[in-house]
Amino acid sequence: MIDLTNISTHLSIVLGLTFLIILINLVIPLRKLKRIKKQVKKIESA
Amino acid sequence: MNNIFSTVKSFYHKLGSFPWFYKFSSKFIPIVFILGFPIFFLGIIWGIYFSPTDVTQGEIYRIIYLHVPAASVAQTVYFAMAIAGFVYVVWKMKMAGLFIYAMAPIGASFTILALISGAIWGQPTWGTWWIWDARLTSTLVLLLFYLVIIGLYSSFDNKKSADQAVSILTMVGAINLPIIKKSVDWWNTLHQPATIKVFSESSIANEMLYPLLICIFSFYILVFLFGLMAMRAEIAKRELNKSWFKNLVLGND
Amino acid sequence: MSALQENINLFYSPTDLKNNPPSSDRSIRAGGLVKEKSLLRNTDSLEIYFEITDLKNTIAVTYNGLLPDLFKENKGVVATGYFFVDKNEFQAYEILAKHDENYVPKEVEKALE
Repeated sequence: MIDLTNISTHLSIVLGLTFLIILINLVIPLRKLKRIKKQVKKIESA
Repeated sequence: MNNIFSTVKSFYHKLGSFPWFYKFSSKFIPIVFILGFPIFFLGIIWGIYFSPTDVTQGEIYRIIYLHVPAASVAQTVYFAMAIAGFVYVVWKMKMAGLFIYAMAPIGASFTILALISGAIWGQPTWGTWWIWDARLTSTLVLLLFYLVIIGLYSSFDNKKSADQAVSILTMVGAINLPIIKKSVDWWNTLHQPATIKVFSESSIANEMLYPLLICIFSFYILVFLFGLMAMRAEIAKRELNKSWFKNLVLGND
Repeated sequence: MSALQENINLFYSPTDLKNNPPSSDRSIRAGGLVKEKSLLRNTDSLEIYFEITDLKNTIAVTYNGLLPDLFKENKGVVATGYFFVDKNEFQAYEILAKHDENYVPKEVEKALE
């Protein structure tokens, strides 16, 4: 079991970076797809 | 026998079809998401919080639960890209070219995670956050290949020439993969040899190994998820003027 | 070819230093295990003396400064500095700890003592 008094900034930074990378890899393709769908709808309504 | 062959053949053709992949991934992505994230959290909570303290390194070793999975997917993604490169060069399969384009940023981001987590781990343990030994240097080379591959796309106007050039470059870079793997065995390095061994007993206690394997597995699921999402988005971009796509977008909303 | 090997290998082992001593005018690295019972500390400075062994040969190392936490006898070490073949001595200005690939729970170690 982890000794929480020793959790250290090191571990937190690595965890934070991991979450950031996961978030980026989720958000970027979703936004790209959303943008393209919006573009298609815009062209169609024009 | 003929049935199996024709099933495989039709799956292969479907795999090469942008509309099929788009529709398939749209349905499959939520499933992979729901599968992947609980396993990811299980792994990291078990490893970082519940697994025992290491006698040599204390708590800092827990970076292993992120560093090793990241390094593992960083190499495997490149390997998959190299295979796709070969498929593209030989069969000119569009999907293979698209695969490389979609996976490169994913592979690059996990290589960055591996390098930075390694540096943060190395500083308190080795006494340095970087060293030019064969393991670290070859991993940095892996990142360089990823970045050059990504950059190469923008220097081409023609998509086909871009795919061709990138496919060849990706295959060339594959020689770096056995070097990364074997660097710690072939040469004197600061980085220690492999802990997880496939054909013999791993040199890590089971209570530490099990969450590590779960973390590694979860990273593969997540990367698979990101790959599906990235490929789907790129298919949309390339096919936005096609009627199948327009009908899909307009029909559903 | 050996020049390439020299550059790919991070450090010289004590055997390498014996067979192929580099010149003392450039900084190199030496690595191996800290020889058991070889560690000597100067009482009023940060000067230390220890030996690096690869179980076949041994070299003496002198160093002035702080040691990484993981520096221990019988454990791996990589020293950066200058090798003086005539004195068979390595003068280090940087000491790095090289840990092995084993992970053992702390409680298990206590149980084995």
